[in-house]
Amino acid sequence: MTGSNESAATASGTPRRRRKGLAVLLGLAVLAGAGVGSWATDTWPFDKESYCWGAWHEDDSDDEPGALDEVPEGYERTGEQSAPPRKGERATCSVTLKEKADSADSADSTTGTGDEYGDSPAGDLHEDRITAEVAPVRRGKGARAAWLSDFLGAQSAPLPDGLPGLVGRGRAAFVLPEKCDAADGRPTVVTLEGSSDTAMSSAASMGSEADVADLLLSLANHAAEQAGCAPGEPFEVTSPLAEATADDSLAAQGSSLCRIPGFRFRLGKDDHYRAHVGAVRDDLQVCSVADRTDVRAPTPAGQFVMVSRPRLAALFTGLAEDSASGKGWRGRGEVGEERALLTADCGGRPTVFFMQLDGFLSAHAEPGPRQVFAATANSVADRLGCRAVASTS
Amino acid sequence: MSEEERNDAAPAPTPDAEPESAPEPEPAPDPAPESKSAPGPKSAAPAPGPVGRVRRFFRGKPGVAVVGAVVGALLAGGTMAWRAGELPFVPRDLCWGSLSPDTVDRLFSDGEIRTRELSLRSTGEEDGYSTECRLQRWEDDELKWQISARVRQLEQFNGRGAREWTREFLSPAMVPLGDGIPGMVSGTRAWVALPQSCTGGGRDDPPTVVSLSSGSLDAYESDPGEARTYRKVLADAVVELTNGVLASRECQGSYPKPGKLAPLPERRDADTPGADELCGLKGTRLPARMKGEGDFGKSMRVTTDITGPAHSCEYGRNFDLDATRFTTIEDPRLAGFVEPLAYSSPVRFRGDGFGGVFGDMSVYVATCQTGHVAFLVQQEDLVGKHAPMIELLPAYVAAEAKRIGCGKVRVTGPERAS
Repeated sequence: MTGSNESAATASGTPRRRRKGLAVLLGLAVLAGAGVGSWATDTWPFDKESYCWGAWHEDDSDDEPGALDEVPEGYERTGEQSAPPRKGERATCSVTLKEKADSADSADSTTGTGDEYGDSPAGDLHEDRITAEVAPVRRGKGARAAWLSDFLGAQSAPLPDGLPGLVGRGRAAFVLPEKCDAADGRPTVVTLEGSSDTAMSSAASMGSEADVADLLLSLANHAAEQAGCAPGEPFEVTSPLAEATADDSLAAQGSSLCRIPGFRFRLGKDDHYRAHVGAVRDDLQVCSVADRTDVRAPTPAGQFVMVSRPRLAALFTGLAEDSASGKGWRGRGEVGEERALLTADCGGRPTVFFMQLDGFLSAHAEPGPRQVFAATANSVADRLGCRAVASTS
Repeated sequence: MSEEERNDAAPAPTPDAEPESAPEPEPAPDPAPESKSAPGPKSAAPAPGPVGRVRRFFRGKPGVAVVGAVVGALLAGGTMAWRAGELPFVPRDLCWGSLSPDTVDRLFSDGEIRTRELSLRSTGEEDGYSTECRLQRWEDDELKWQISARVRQLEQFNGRGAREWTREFLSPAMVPLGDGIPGMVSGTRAWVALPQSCTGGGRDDPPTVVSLSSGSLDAYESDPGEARTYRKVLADAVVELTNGVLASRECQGSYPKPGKLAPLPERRDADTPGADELCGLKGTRLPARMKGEGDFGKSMRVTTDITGPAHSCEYGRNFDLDATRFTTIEDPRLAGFVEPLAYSSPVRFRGDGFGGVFGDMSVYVATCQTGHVAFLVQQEDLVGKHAPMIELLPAYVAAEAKRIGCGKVRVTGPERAS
């Protein structure tokens, strides 16, 4: 719009004095137009606070993620960050929304004691944080398995449009393209995790699924760019996101966990295990079992995952010996008592089947952990319409 | 439901150049702002004109100050109009601002298009959310064709509603829209379920569905070419409509334009040698009376792509009138819509899941890895002593459950509810 003004100014062949006046006037017009334009788009040329190497901006747009919303009164927002993401290296950053000390003092003086529900104990200042990490997946098998149970859990839903990521309100992960892999082939992952000092929830909400997806993808795009491995087109969610709420209300025929025939354990009423069904798709299926002995802080106790979405499947590289898995089995992998991994072709796609169990679940698998893995993997393969992958003998 | 003119005025997508004299002698009687899109599809972009004129103006006359002000004002006005999404001269989109003029052109052959629409907002009535927009083609003051666009929450605990909706929108003529779009399309019907992130509600609430209905259910059975063309138009239109509804509800995301659709279902002779299995299901046997006999031989057709939210197969002479239809609803939320029918009837099926019989239809619900799956057997005309919805349900459920990877599902019954 402003361009047409300028071209008009240079092309006008009027006497000098008039041209000068004209230039001034047009300049004013341009300014007015631009001013209105920037007001209209809410992009004042003033500095906004930015976080995580500039990936996130405060009040970015009309629909900025809740976490970067206007700071509530009495709070302040701070950011921390390591050196920017580089290929094969670990980078972290965080955004903290914290109650200011002086405002809490005044609140304390009026209410006297802390919240009776223990939400914010007297003297403690309320604090919400989002921690982000850009790093290759852990090399150690134990650490990797723990990470998988956190970030490939039932509380997250896969991103639409085939994007290699999962989004939940408390946790989210996105796998960067192959170009960003570490030198030894481990994929680089962008993760987000919310935390709060409230006593009840171990993982705090970072906002709606859409908010979290926004944060995740802007950081993923930014990180890939800084590491020099960005794809031609930035990652973008266009289709509606799935709700990320684990389903624990339905039992399958014959009391298998997560409605998967064969995922069975000898559990009594007093064993506080609960299964949560996550995604059940053609390219991803997630079942998480939690130990709820401490209801306020359930701990992961078991997990079954089927995944064939390519970059998500890459999260399992190097987790097991790449050996033939035995007579009657298809594909390659390693099937143990507490951890089992099998990669086999299913409908033309390399498909990963993965199970991990804590000592108790492993000991109570019905009839035994290896058989449970075989039966569960075969049930899922059957659902996908592909040949049995495991030996049932 | 456009009852009238459905036989003679099929919306031929070939626009014949009609020598219409005096275009629009009178405006539509009730010109709703959206009801008439400007005929010129390419809205004359106002930008190039003014620049030239301004230049001439500068050269000739001295009143330059005015120009600056005018230009500034124009810019400001334009910016604001652009921001509000209301640029002048751009044809308005129809039906809650979602259907583009191009798509409407493809939906109708020619004539004057009028729309009547109810507000998209919920009425807050007890019997669920429902609203409608009708697209009508008028010629010489006569209604020639009508397409109904609806947004409604499917009703549970409503036998008639479930019958009608499944009959129209889950018939074997429907194919999935693909690309993760939760919907289906045929040559005359199309639907997309709104994502739960947009409608809210719990897991057990039935979905809210955006649908298009154009003419009678099987209007194009005799003309596959026409059916294929119009099916593509309906597929594009229902996705546009859904995206429009998502946008007006300020919901995140939009669905991509549907890609290649599965082939149209073919009507086959039910007595074909080798087709002795019920709906082609392994381990079942098709009863002789489903094949018909001699001059009364029956046909069958089956969903051509069973990867979608639901699929079905049916046997009959005239599917509309006498079909026996077998349907599997794999989408758990859509299955939830018919689920109450499975546990509240006088005649029950039991076993690993649960089911019931309601006059001319039976429903069985089993739990699979994806959640609840509903199996339906429906009979359009119930004459004679045979009741396929009772006799064939157990075999259909067991074989279908196995095929879709639901494992062994045992069905017992029927028995009277105690």
